[in-house]
Amino acid sequence: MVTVQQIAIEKLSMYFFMSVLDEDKAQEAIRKVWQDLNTKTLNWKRVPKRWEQSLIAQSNRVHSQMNSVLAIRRSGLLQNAFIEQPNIDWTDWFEFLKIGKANEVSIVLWVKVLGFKQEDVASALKITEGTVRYRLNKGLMCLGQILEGEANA
Amino acid sequence: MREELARPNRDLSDFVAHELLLDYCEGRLDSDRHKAIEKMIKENPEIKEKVMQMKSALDFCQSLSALQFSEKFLHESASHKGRIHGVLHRLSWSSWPDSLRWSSEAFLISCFVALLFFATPWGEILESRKIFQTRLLTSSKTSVVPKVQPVGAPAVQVVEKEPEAKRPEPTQAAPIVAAAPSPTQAPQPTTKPKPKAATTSYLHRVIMKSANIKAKTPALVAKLKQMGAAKAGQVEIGWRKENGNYFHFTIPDQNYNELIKLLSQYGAVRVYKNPHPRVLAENTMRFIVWIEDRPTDNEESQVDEAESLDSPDGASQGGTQPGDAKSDAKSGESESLNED
Repeated sequence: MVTVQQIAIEKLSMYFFMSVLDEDKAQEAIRKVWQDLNTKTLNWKRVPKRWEQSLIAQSNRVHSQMNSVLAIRRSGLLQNAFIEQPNIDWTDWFEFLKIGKANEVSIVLWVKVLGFKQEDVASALKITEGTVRYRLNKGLMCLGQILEGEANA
Repeated sequence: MREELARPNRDLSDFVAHELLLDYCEGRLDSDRHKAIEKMIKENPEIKEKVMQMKSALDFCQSLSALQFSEKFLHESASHKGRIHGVLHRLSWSSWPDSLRWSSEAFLISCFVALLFFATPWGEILESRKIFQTRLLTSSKTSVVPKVQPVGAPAVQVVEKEPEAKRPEPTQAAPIVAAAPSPTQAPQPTTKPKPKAATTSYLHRVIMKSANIKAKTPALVAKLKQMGAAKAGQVEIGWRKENGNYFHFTIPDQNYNELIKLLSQYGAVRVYKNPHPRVLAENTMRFIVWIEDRPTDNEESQVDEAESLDSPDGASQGGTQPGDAKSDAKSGESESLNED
């Protein structure tokens, strides 16, 4: 049986890995968020109702703090050793991380990739749902352009 | 029965249409807006392209959401390793910026080169090089014998004894000790005696005066060759100089008496036997015979003068045996013969 903790750590791992495409940097950020969540925010013995919001808020805070560490590498090969599906082509996603705005990329990640509700994201990031929807729309349009080749052209 | 009021179709602006594309793709629009978007897609190719891009982006995100990490990655991510690990990770070489890494590498390489430069014993290297050059010069001196040299033994022996005389000097003794296999054996090279073979070989010098020796020389050379004489120097036997002829040859020792008899036909014979380092073949004697021109009218008086120069240590006149004649280096110094 999959526990909430397992789901949380998986979502957290996916968010940071896809934000930097670097296992080492992602793990460093994940450990920090997980430690903060366990010690300060969440008590996993009684599963909180809004653990998603805490997760998103803490991740966003750590991401802002470690902005220089988590910067996207301009060069270097991506290591897929920790991913079960090793044949994923990360070229378009890498372009999206470089071209797209950081707040739009994170909204796309939280909502469309990780499947969090827009209201939880809005609450965690302390923005309105309309803003979440606007950034999501812009981010997806940017990603779509990259996927269809318009951005490169 | 209630009838719905007929509403005119409202066209959407491009801005609103762009904002509603996500809701359209997700099917969250009401029927009127849905129809309006569809109408714009048909009329406006740009909106149609945007819809295609949005759908492909959503499909891509859907595929990414199926991504799964290995248990190892998740376990390592969740495990708490403390601040020390974090600090160490930050300090690890892979975490350094490229510029800092290049700078540190260049610094380390330059430090290594500087250390290598200062640690190298340049003084010893230069000193050993000087010693090596000195030895080369010494060996070249011994191998190349000048064409014109005084006949006396010191002129010959100086070349051989010179390096030995310099060895005890402190500047050159140290490297020799260092190169020796053990410290106890270091002083030995300085007191090492000459090879035995060098002291047991002898050079026999004959000084004569004879009238018209230039004309007699071809016959004398022919007779010498009949006795087995072979050229020992760089010039032919019977080489003509200003005032005499020079015969430098080796001969089997069994023909010694015959040689003395032959030479005595040309004048008074005096043999000087000197030790010499040049190693000869067994049963072979080396001779340097110098026959100087003498005027015919003064022949007798010159012979008398030559007799008066006889050495007191037993150098015999005419028929001296090889083993009997002793070395006479002092008398050899006064001679002006050249060993060619």
